[in-house]
Amino acid sequence: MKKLPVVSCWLLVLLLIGGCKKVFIDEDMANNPRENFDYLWNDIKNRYSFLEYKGLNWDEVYDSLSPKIKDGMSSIELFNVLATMMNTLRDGHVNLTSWFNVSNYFPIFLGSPQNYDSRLVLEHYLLRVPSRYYVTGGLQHTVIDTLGVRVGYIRYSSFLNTVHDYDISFVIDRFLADSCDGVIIDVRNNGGGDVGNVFPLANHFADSARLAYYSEIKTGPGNNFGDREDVYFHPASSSVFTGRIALLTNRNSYSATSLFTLAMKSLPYVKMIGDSTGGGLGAPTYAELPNGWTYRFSVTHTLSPKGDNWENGIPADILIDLDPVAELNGYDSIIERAIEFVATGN
Amino acid sequence: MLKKIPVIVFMLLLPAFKIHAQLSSAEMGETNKLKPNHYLSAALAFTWIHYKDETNSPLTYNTSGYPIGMEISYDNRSANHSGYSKIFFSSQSLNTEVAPTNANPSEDFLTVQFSTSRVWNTAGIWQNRIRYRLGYSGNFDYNHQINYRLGNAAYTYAIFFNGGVANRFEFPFTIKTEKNWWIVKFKQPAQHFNLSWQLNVPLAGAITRPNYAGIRHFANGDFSSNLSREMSDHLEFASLHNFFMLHSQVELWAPLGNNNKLKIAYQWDGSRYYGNYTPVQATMWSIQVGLMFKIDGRADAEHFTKQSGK
Repeated sequence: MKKLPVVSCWLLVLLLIGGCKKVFIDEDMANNPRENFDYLWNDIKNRYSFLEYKGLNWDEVYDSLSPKIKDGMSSIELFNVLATMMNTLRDGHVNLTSWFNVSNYFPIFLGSPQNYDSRLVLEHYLLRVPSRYYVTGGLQHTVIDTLGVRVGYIRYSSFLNTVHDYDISFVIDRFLADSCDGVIIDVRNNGGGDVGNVFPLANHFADSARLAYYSEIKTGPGNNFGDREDVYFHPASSSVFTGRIALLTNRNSYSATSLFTLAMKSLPYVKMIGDSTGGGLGAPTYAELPNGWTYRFSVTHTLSPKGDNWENGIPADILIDLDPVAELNGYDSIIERAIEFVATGN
Repeated sequence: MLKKIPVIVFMLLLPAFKIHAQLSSAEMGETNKLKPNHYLSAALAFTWIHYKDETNSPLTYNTSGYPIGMEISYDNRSANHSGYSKIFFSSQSLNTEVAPTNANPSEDFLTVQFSTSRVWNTAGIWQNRIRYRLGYSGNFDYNHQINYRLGNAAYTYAIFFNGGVANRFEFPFTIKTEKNWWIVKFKQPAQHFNLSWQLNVPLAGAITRPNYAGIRHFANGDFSSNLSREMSDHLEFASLHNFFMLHSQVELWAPLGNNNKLKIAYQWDGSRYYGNYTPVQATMWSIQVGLMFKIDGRADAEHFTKQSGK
């Protein structure tokens, strides 16, 4: 009987020495075109959050693309097939990244009017009175005086640029000191960035605590989402503007910019002017293929307080495109419409 | 087959429980006369890691940079028991086998392990030359990967704690050093060594893993509060049905002056989780070289142990 523990332990020694890594870690998948294709297809099927919303038949996608996978196909050929598969998702939050190329889905904004001319804005609005033009952190701003209507104008080009509380406080205090009748926040062509910058900005325009949106994270294959995450924003402790606010967007306002837009839309004194946003309200996860390429796609969905799913774009309150004739004359028709809203409330 | 391994191991351990009941009371009574010795030790560890976290990759990541780790340990030993509490950590760069063909940069990996164990004499083997000691072990592991190529999903983790059975085999032996060894002249006529092997098998505990989606809930723009909430929400009971782990350590203790010791150890760890969240699998082996400082002024209970065991 006393030999039993010895025998047991020697068996374990053999197990450890003989099996070691293989006992605990499965063999990696084979790195061939078929395995890579199947892995990506399955991961999208299981974790992508908008297959049902977009009405995509993912099995049909497999059937149409699978025959293009051949043993011995080149990396470039494989990349093109996989990128085609990902672009069927019609999602700006979907990319495939290899060491030689990155796939993107461009039609979201390339299929729509541009509705933004950076030179026009800089030359005819921000620099209309050069001494009024400020750059505070990631915010460009000025005060536009049109026929007695004073409008504070903020240009925020990317949510990758950090918004500090003291930056936006300075801007708001300036507008309040200048007795501005309203504020224009221009986030056209703002492709998003860090969601952490959404609320430091939005809080300075909130009159009370409000539900900005709610979000749900995917918890399993199919249309399975977890508990809703209610996201509120609250008025900043000081330097808050609650007058008329025009939020300018276009189809290239995406991701974090769409979240900011959702939050601002919950304020009754805000009008969204321009085109609908590009959407991108799902948060993307990243992963790796057996061949080491990386990819990303959305695994959450975000809904308005009323439950609207605007993944394909948040509709504008006042839909207006940039007028090319006015543009030639130095006018941004979207900004002009925003000034009209500040002046009239309509 | 792999999922049956925990069951097999558990069955192998059953005899050990039975033997424990046969503990020699006479031996215990004699050796209890000496109070235990205490050692504080620090060891440099050369550590190699294999890690597969399926949250964001099907690939195994292996040590690709400097394989350096560190262990600080407190050991408590007497004639009839031994115990330790130790903390081990290693911060490394890991990469995959396909990385060279893709020019993929390495990722950061951190493991911090705290473990404690206490075992008691249970049986003698080979005419008591080898002592089998049985007891318990407790373990807390924090492991994370940060792979900057994976954006929102860069940070994944496996945090677990557990308790289980500890088995220890000790083989104290003496080398006579009355004569010079080449040019080395010893002060003592005999040098007392100890060769031991400890195998810990955790049986139950808890683990927390990232969610199914592989990212935090970024809706509110925060990271740390979402992460801590996720860690607590995803705490899962872990036992042999969903988590299997082994910790093996072979140590050689050699005498130094002032009753201190030199420790040379080979440590091997393996763990495998396949529960409700995405699987994580890991193995780690390390070679450790360190010094053990005796921090009490008592007589050497281990030397006594060997003599009394004859």
